[in-house]
Amino acid sequence: MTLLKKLLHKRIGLVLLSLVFSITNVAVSLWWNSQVSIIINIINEGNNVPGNLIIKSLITVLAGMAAAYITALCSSWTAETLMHELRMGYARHLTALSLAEIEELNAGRQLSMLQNELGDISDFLRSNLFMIADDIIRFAVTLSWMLWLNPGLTLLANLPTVILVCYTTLTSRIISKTAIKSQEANGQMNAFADILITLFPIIKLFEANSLIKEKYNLALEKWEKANILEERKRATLMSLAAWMSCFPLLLLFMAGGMQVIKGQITIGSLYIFINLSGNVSGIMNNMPGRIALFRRFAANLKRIESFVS
Amino acid sequence: MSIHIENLSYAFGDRQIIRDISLHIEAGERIGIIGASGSGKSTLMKLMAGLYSPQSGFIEVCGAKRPEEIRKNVAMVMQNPMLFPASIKENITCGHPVSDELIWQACEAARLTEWIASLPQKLDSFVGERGSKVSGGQAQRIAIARAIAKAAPVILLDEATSALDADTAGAVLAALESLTKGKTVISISHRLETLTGCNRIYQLEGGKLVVYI
Repeated sequence: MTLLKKLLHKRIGLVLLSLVFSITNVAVSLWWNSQVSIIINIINEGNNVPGNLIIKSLITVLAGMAAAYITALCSSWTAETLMHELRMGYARHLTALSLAEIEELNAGRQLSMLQNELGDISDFLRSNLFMIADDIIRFAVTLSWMLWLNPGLTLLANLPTVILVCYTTLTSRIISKTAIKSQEANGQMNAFADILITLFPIIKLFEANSLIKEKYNLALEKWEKANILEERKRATLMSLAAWMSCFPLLLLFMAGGMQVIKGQITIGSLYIFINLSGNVSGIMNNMPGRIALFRRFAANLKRIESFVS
Repeated sequence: MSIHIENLSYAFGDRQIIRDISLHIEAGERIGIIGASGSGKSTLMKLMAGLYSPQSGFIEVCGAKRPEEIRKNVAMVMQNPMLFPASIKENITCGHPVSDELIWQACEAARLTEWIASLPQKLDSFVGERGSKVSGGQAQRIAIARAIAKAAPVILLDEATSALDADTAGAVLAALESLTKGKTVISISHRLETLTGCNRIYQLEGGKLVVYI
């Protein structure tokens, strides 16, 4: 993670700007929900919705659109900048190597690193890094607001998520270990491209084609098994997490419904809790996948750390 | 075991490397070829090994003219040992069925027996990628054992000791003696002192072979 910290530190301004826009986006979204809650309560009482409230809501919608657009733009720009820094760091490292050090490098592995590890890191930075940051911000801000609105209902509906978080932490470590093995097997397989080029004279002279083919097939089998194991483990562990994530919404309907019937909360307030449940328990539902992606990203970063200056 | 080269020419694109070379080597002869870096020594060696096809003229090794047939009669030891990422045994046999007795004989001739016997995995010891788990001298001797195991009548040595220091070159030279005994040998080097024991020495200059000694 040293490499990620270095990258973020280099572009700290852009990173902070993206986070600020993300927080603004969430705040606008929560404000929109409170507007809708008020409208639902007015309609439920059998009254007409005042014109100024509709205008306020429309302005909130437009502000939400602008906030979402600016957030997406800023985070994409920041991600591309981080990726550029990473690639330049890799190039700087290679150009600073001595001839003896370069000769020691396996061209197949370096190509594999460029295509696979750097490619995966690029995809993650572009598609997931700021999405995860956004999820964390959304979760924290929404949970805080819901606790302020109705702490009892919030805690009851989200207690199962605590168990889910513990579960996802454990499973992400398991998935990460299998991901590392899969990447190592991938690197070994790609190293054969270099072997074929550099050892071509000896392979031809000593008719070692079948030996190389046998070794390659072994590496291919190892990669295949490692990949299948990683996918199988991820599918098993994530599907269990998905099943567990249904409980918060069910509890919300049961407990919240009872409170509406007893007149303890309005139907508009229940709407907020239902609509924003995705920001809390929904994010938890996606967390196993996100954390597994992050761990794979961290494993890729670790593999290239020594090759980036 | 004889080699016959007639009017051999070879070029890389517009650059003519070998110009109209003719040479006859009798069975059991030892020939040395010297030349400056970039003079075409390795290209000539690869043509003689059947790794390249002549663009004009022909090469005949032990009666074979086609490159795939020439390769069967030739074993080569290069400056870089070029080991496979496999065990010592697999590097010597190259995946072919060779008896353990023959493998140990090749190891004995290449002065490897004592070292291999000291390893926990013996012949199944992994040499690492590009021979990273063995020393330069050990890697070169494994390459020599590989050439011995092939039992080819023609041996090509492409600067086989250039990359070694004085201490390790001694063991490798002893192993090379075992390899080249009774065979037709062509050695190339950029240093004359490494070609002692050759019946004839040629110099490759401007793509042409000139008798040196």
